[in-house]
Amino acid sequence: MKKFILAGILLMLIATLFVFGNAPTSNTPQSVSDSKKQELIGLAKKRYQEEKAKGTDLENGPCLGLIAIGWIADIAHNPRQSIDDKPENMCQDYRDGTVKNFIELDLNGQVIRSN
Amino acid sequence: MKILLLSDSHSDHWVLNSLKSLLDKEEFDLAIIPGDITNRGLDAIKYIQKFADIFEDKKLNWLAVHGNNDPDEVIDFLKSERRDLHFYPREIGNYKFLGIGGWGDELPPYELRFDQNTVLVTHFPPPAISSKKQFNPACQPLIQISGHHHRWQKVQDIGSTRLINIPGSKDEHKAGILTLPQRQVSFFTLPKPNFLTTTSFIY
Repeated sequence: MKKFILAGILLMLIATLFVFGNAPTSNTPQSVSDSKKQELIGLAKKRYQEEKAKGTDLENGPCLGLIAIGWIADIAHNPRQSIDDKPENMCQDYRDGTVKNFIELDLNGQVIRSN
Repeated sequence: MKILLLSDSHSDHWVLNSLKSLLDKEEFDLAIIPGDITNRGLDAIKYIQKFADIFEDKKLNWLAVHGNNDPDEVIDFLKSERRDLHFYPREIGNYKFLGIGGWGDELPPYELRFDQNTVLVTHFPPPAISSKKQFNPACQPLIQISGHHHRWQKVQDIGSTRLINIPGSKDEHKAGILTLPQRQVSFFTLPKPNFLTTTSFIY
């Protein structure tokens, strides 16, 4: 009887490890609801307006930085140009994989796309 | 501009090895990949990462659309690495590159209008490549590059558009070179991999 109980506990332990061991980490792109996405887009646009008000030069399509946990906002040309792929115009957290989600705005602060 | 055209590798490791050998020997300004880089399966993400690493090692800019066999993880990878062209135009030199991936049923490309500096990249060839009657005269990109039909090695001019279908790199061991602004196209057999230097890709 003891053997069955031990085997049962072991199986549950393995199943728990399997389920949680494969859970998505913060390093994978998040799937968010439409309302959450709208909220994030709002945050990106707010950051854009703040930078513009400060007089930041946005012509080269710089990174606007982290806008929420796991999300960055980035400016790019539309159509995308090679200058947008320069490391200095991309978000470092995104490039090194720390952050996997982005909102991309054009030079006028309009959404190009997001993931 | 010398552009490598490579299609339908379908997670094939011979193609990875061959691509590495090719890029060791020959230089390109850009690589265009019209889809089916992977096959749906557990190794798709591992494969696309190795595929990307080869271009990264050679500092070669590459852009792709997904094919009907590339799973969502691969589409996400292309997007997050900023390598995708799917409804995402890019300016390179005097040209605008734009793609429509997958089955092309979201918005059939032949129902769109393009200007004469656009290079359109799709996975599926347009119906016009097999039947001139189905070609929409309003859809006139400079060039349309496609894959999918592994045995089709085609270059066809319809109106002001040059249609190019690239044979499969996995099945036919072939790729193409497009030269702009001349719009010259040539096809070649991919080189045998140099197994002395590319052992890391052999399973």
